[in-house]
Amino acid sequence: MAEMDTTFLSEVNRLSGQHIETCYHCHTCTAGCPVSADMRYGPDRVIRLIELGEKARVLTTPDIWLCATCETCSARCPNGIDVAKVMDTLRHLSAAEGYRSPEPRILLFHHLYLAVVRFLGRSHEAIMLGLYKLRSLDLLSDMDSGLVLVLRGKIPILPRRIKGVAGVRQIFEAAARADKLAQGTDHARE
Amino acid sequence: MQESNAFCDKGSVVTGTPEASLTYGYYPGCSAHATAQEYDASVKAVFGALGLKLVEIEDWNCCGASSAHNLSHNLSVGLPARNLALIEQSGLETVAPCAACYNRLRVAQEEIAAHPDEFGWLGEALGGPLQGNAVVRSPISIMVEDVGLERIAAHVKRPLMGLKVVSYYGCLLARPRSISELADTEHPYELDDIMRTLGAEPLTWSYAVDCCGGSLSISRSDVARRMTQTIVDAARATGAHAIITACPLCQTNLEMRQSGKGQAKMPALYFTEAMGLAFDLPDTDKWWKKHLVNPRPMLSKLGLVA
Repeated sequence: MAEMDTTFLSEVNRLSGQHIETCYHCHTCTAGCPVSADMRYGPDRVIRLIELGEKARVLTTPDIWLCATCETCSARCPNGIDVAKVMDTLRHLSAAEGYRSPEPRILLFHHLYLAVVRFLGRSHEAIMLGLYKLRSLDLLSDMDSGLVLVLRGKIPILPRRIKGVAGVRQIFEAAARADKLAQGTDHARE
Repeated sequence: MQESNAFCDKGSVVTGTPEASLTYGYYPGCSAHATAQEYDASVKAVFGALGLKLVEIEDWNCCGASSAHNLSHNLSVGLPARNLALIEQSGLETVAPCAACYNRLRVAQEEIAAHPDEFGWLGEALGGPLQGNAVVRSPISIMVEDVGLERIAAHVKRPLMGLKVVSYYGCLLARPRSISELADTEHPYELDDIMRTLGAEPLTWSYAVDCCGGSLSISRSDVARRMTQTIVDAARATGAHAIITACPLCQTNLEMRQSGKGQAKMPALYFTEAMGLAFDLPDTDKWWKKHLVNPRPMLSKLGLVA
């Protein structure tokens, strides 16, 4: 019998600070997950796939992007596994190693949100939503909701930069370096 | 070092004389200037009415919210860390009304305390090390613990008689448990206590700490709609007139993504708006105008607004 490749399991355990091999697949995480109906596997099977070393399959599943980070799974795991933290780690790895997200709009939303924060120091709905609409080519959906927000005066048009925006940019750069160091993403994806 | 600011363990908070004037730092968060203007305004009005002073943290930045959390571990700690440094400099115990901001600031604080070696890079990026003594709180715990229900009751001029509500905390105030200020994170009761004190009737339901799907509201609105509808339908089944919230993401998502299914949509009120109404504060009408689901017709039917 071939030995199981535990490289990916060790990597996820190290980055998330968890011991996911203690999972006995009771399914509590998936049963309580409010998004599992929209997922391909659900959290407990994602954990099983990590144990099986199915790195590419795990890092390209929509599940890791659909996770709403509500942490219900972590709160209820009888073995104290922070399942949401494992999902965080998988997203971070997937993004850092350049895997194509099966949920490109979710990834795009997060990237644009952070691009605006990097530029202004704060978020700004009008710029962010404008960019999102253009880049996602999802121009027509939700225009009614957007219009209502504008009519209620809830989307200020003019952006304001904070004074310490240079410091915020420095945090972005230093954080990216620290992520790389922790993930060891210099080595190529298998 | 701040261990936990659960109600039973909040260290150095001054609770002295009942009408003592307290000053808190104020971290509004980005949504206070956009989708949550009525939360910002009602928090300020209610704190003012109770004699509590708010001093805005100078030049604060975005906490990174769910996007930094989703994409980068270090950024999800680094962006809140700059604010923690500013809060430390202010020397003020600081209120973060936005549940997402509260959550990200507290989680970052916990991460840095637990893994100081991993965040050595922060000192350089921030121009100095963090002391680790910032105190960040949600307005719910300030109301229940520092102000107290008795003092809230003393300010009620227009009891919210006949108003049936369900209290909704969502994820970010309840999880992870280690940073939550709620005494029971599966069955919290703090908002119920406040609402009862205001004369309203809090109803029992099972969705108080369920997720509304706020982080998917723009990019997968279909999923967010389903999650929101589950919560609104459950609220409706109890016979509630409104959902009481303390999170700008929940509040916007609940009002924006629900379907009325042929009936009037259900408004989601910030708990501070309910307090302002019960205190008979002058600006409440301006708050109702900001809602995507206008609560005025419902409040008017109950005789709570003219």
